[in-house]
Amino acid sequence: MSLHDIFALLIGSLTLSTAVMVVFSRNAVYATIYLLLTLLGVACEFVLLQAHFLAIAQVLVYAGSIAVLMVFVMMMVGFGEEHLEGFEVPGGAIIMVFVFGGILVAAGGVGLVRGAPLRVEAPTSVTSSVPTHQKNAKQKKAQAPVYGSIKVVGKHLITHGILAFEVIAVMLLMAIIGIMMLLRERRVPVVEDDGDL
Amino acid sequence: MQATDVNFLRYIPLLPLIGAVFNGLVPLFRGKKHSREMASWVACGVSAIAFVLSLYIFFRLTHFSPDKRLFQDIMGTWISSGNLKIHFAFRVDVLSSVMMMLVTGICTIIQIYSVGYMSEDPGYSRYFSYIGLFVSAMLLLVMADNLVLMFMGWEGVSLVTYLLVGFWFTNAEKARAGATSFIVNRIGDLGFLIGIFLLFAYMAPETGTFSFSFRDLAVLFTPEKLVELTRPVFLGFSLLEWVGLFFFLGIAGKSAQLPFYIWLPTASAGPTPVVAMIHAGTIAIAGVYAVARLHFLYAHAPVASLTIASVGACTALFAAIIAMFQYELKNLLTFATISQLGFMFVGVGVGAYSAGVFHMMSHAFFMSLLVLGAGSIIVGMNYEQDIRKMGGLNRSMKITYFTFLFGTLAIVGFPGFSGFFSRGNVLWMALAKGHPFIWFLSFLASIVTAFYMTRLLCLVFLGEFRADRKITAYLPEGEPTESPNLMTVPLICLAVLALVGGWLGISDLLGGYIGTKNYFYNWMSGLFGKTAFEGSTILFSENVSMSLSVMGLMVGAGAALFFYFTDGEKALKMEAELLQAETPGFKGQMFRLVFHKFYIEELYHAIVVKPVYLLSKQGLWVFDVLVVDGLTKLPGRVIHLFTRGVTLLQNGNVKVYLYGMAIGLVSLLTWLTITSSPF
Amino acid sequence: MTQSLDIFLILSLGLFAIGTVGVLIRRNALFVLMSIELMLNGATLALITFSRSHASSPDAATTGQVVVLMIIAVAAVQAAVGVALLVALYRSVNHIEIDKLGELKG
Repeated sequence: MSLHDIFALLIGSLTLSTAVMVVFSRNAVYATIYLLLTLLGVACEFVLLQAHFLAIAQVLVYAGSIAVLMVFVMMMVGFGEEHLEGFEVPGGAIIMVFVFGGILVAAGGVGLVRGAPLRVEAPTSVTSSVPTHQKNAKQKKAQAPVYGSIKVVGKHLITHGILAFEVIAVMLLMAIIGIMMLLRERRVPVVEDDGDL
Repeated sequence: MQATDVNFLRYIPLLPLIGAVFNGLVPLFRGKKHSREMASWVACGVSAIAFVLSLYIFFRLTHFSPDKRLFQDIMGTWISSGNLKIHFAFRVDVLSSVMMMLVTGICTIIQIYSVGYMSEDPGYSRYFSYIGLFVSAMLLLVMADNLVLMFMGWEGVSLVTYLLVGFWFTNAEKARAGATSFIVNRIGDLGFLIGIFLLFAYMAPETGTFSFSFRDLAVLFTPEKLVELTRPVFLGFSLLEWVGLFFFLGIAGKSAQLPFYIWLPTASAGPTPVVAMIHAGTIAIAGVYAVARLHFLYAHAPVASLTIASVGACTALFAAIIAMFQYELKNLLTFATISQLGFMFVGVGVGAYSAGVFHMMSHAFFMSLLVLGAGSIIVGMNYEQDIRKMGGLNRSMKITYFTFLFGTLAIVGFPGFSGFFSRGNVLWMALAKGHPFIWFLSFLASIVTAFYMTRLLCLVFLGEFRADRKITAYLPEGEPTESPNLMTVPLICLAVLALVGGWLGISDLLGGYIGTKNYFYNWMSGLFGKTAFEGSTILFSENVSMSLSVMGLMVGAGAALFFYFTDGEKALKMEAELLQAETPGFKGQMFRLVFHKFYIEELYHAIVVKPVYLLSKQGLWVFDVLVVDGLTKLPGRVIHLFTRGVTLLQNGNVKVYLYGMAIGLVSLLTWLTITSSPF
Repeated sequence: MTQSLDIFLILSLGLFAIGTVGVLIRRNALFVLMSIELMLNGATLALITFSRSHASSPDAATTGQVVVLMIIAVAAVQAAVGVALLVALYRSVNHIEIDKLGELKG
């Protein structure tokens, strides 16, 4: 059990518990806070997997914008559940067990038990970045760039993933325009009563 | 026999067909007013052209030697399946050529008459369209090269009969009359079809093609095959007997012999020229032609032939008796036709094919004359048909009177007119071929024929005019007037034919006296061969037979003249008395029995019609509703249930949709895991 | 020294399962949206894990990360559009409970 694994376990359980709290909390704002925490936990997991850039992206996009978006929406549409039960389980808890257990067991448990455990080369340190004490520029250059660094991901994005990059850009544009169309204030048109039509 | 290809044979039935289509379509485009005159010109013109072509064909045939008198026109293969190869082809030999001339000639005359008769009718163009179809179908029948094509013409004639008899279909009774004629014909046609099937089943050779054409069929009757075909196969009759009997079933249906004649009286619902065409044309020509065409078959089926002759004789007598006391003009003539048809079948039944065909030809002349004359009378009397209300028309409708007189003289067999020669031939042949009983029945029928026709003549034309105020109010000057020229001129033509036509078939005996031969017989012998006489059983010679016929004529006519000429009113009063149901006595009962046509129609109704109604209404209706409707609705019901189930999925409940997705996802994952297949 | 990545997979599965349960249970549409985000996170985590362990070449590994980046962007778009729809719905029926949205029945 290396430090790496301990960290992974800790953060993992934290993330899971906050996720459960998201689903089962009554208060919408609480749920949003828990969601935020869950997202941050996942970002930490990304770091543990040497995908540093993605971790930052996750924080920026998910935690930074989507969670905030949720809060904004809550301000616009009200918090719901003021006088109602928070949730119900139609069909009984059995269905829940079935769904939950089904996903875990069917997809995960079997795979994990049957298949060989995933093993990768362990990183030299927890965060495994370029050691800072290497001040020599030559030594810096000699170090191979790490798997999840901005350099590697960025280069790949611009060269091999350029199509996806552009498509994402267009999609974002479409989303913006679409949302504006959906939500603009509509003035009710005055119906001219001509009498003939 | 060698055949010559004559390629324009196809136009003879085709032209009337084109005329019919034209007349049928034109009113749609030009409106009824304009199309009237055009319709009559087109119809009569086309018919006349067909007649001219038939004449031409006939004269061309005469240039050939007797063993080469055969034209053909093969248009192509119609049915080709297995070893069955039926051609669409026309074949004109000595018999067909005479038939063609007869059909086109009589139909042209009747069409000219119709122009006058139907001038007021709103369905003018439709009428001429149907008539064109009729001529075309009849020509197809007599010119067909093979049995199946002939059957097509046969059925076509049935169809057009239905269309024409039910011409005034807005009247429910008349429409039903059309349906009756078609249905009864159909029943007979079943027999015809069975005959065709039997022929195919037993006569088709193993190899090569079988074409149902008459020539091929005749060729198949080799001596070896004959031995097999005349062997008793079922109930003691040979195959040929059965085939012959089945064919006769169809012929009896179409030609209104016992017991299928009931459709003919109801067919009087049609316009009178149609009635004339049916009587003179279809039923006689189609039926007798069919037997004559299949002469090679009937020559070897003595039982079937004898059946034909017996049925013919019985029908002749039976119908003649019924005709004795009828009052409706068209009805009376209908029974006259049925009776004369019986004579024709006597002729072809005993094997005297040319005699039968000759009587058919002379019957065509005098019967169409009589029926058209009746039409003229009816028009003159403002559509009154009861002869009790007529009388004395010889003064007011002179041309009609004289032509009708000629027709009557012809049908009773007055010496010199066509009926004398034709019927005399038939009777003599019956005797000569060794069937004295059949001769006797026919002889009786001739006497009765003389009686009723003379009665008709006296009551309608002679004596005093008996119509009452109700009718005379509608007649100009209170008296019937002569019909227009368009109607009387055809009558005159037919009267001349009725007189002259008979001399063509004068028997050898009489011909010997004046130096002419039996042209008709000689012409036909190219097909039928010379008839052989059964020497031993001839009771008496032809001279005696002829004298007996004349004497019978005088007895019958004399009786009628005695009753009806001397004092028509008294005779009618006596008849009316006998008609009353309360009058006791044998004479009264017999009279009423005959007057009601032996209650045959009522018998049919009880035996055939009512049970069928009951069966369909009570029995099959239930089956129809439960099973058939149930089955047809079944797919609809199944789909309905299915969709109702499917609509449960579309209940607008978002939760349900989400659940569906989740369960689907889980199932998919489970399945993938179990099968352990990677994506 | 090798490192076992099982923990990450268990975590991703757990996130996904909890997210699904949340989608099915909650009546408030906002919560449904949040649960969907959880599901997406679980999926991306699994993707990273597998790209790290099963990549055939370093290039392929990086492709995995690029894919995840795209997914994050798409998730953002989806959340935004979903929220817009929610707001539009609220404007028309004044509530956001999916139980009460039965008008497309039949």
